[in-house]
Amino acid sequence: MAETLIELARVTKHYKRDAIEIPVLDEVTLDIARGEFLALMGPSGSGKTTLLNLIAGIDRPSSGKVVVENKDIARLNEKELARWRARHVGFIFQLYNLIPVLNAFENVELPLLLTSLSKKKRRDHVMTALSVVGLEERVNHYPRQLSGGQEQRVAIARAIVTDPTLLVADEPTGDLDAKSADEILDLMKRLNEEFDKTIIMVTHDPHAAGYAHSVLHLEKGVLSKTGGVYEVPTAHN
Amino acid sequence: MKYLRLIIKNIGRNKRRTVLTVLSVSVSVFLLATMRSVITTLDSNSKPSGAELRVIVRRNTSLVDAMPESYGDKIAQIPGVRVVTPANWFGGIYKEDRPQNFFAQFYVDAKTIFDVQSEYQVPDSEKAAFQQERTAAMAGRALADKYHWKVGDVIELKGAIYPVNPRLTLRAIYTGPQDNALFFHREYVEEAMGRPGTVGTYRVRLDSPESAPNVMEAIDRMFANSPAPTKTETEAAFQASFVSMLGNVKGLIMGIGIVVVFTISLIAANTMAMSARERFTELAVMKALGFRPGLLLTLVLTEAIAISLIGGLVGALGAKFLYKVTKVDFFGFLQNFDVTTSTVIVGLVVSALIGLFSGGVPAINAARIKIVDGLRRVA
Ligand SMILES: Nc1ncnc2c1ncn2[C@@H]1O[C@H](COP(=O)(O)OP(=O)(O)OP(=O)(O)O)[C@@H](O)[C@H]1O
Ligand SMILES: [Mg+2]
Repeated sequence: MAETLIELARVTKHYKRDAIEIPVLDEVTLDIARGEFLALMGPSGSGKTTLLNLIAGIDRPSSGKVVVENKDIARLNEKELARWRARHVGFIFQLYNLIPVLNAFENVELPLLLTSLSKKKRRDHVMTALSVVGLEERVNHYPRQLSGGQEQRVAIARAIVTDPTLLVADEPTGDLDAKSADEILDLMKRLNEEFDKTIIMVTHDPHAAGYAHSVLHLEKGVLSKTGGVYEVPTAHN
Repeated sequence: MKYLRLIIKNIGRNKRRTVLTVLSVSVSVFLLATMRSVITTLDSNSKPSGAELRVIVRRNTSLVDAMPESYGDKIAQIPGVRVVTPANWFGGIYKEDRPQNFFAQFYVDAKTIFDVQSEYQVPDSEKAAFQQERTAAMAGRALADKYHWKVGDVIELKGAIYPVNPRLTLRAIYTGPQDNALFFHREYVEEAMGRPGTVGTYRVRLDSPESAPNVMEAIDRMFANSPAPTKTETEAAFQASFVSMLGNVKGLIMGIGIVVVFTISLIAANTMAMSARERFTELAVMKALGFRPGLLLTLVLTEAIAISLIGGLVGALGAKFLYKVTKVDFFGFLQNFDVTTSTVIVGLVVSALIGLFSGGVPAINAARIKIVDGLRRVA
């Protein structure tokens, strides 16, 4: 087994609504290896997004530890966490979440504005990222001028432009037709295999989950008994 | 600044809304600049110019008709009168007879003219030189500048009304209101014409502005049944009464200005809040990408201030140039109406404050967004 990248220890998460505590995650313990491509499945409301958010450092557990690359991220303050995310995590969303007033180039450049890279260096990185996703021809296009699949590819370029360790994707193909979805999944697989990105992908789609090395089931905030990590036959290429 | 493009693109996001916000700020700053200019113009016009302490006596028929020299002493007897000095319009030609060479020329009593036109500022040495020499002349600063005259220059005039061609030496230059006139000795012209002893106007200095009505009446009554009846006018009757009203007017104008700016601020604040609310998810995404709260706050605030400042710039400079080009004087009530540089600066500062106020709450909200809430909104 490869080196452990992410370590969740008895992670609990609940939300408070009108003084009532709504439990979402119940003592989730989980190790994810570096280089893993993990699919997270489960019914709606089971806590998949919540779990992903905790790992990505945009939410904090109610109790338990979230350790990524030997760093307990739950202990970081807001500022440190922001810096940590910028360096280590790439985000891919179901609805792409590109900035509509920025063109493809500027959207991809956005995370680099937070670095001290020169304008020329930023340009090089952006063009590299766009060529990885096959959109170097579309640099000047605005999100509304792109298809859903293309938008998601720009979003992926934005996620990888800072060369993060970890990619988190919350239903990245949830809004796409089958063909575009396959393209995105192929791309993610490539990122995992060629660029060594550790990927955690939430999905409802078993076909999509088939692209992952392993699938994890979440049910009412608990990793399913049969679950843990199990291998699925690689049905796709 | 690498975030500039992002800010500019966000400003251009909803062009119609941005234009409307810019316009509303510019209109309010325009009004503010106008109102402040009314005040500054009134202030500068009502600086004691000496005019409110003066009445002018002339013939009731026409400006060309004259009065006997003997009137001077009689007017001086009237209670409320401090000094009387004769002044005649010479109306000569300087160089060629062209409209651009026209300027006011008076021959006056070189001693008492300064007691009446006490607002004229002349260096003591120049004043003495002007008074001593029969052919001396005194010019206003603006006039001297126009013709590049220096003290010691010779100025030759050709008489058009009177058959005299004075050859004058400039001995003094005065500064003050109406500094575009030329004065020389009554003595010189009278002598050259064989002492006709006629006076075109008497300039009368009062002991206080309040005595103007009584003095005017007394003078005209005194000569009503003589062969040369008079008509006495103030130089600035309404101006004097205006000064006393000024206090109230200022308060009113300030009040209106504050209300206008406040209203526009609310409108701008609402617009900014609206546009920030629409961007709730985007801002959450940026935060997820690692944008820190302080940076998001700065970006949103800069945007609001920039929009508002553009409006301020349009409004303040618009007022400046519009009033300059149209030379509005509000039917004569506001001579030399001018939007001063300080008014332009006040307009810009106010617009920046409108931006700060309107962008403040949205910016703080942007900084405080919880990423998961922002992302959940779409999903
Ligand atoms: N901010 C919040 N406040 C209150 N309850 C919340 C909040 N976020 C999530 N929840 C609740 O936590 C539970 C799990 O939500 P989560 O979004 O993680 O589910 P999910 O598995 O991603 O579902 P889906 O497949 O529909 O996206 C839900 O019952 C949800 O209502
Ligand atoms: Mg979800």
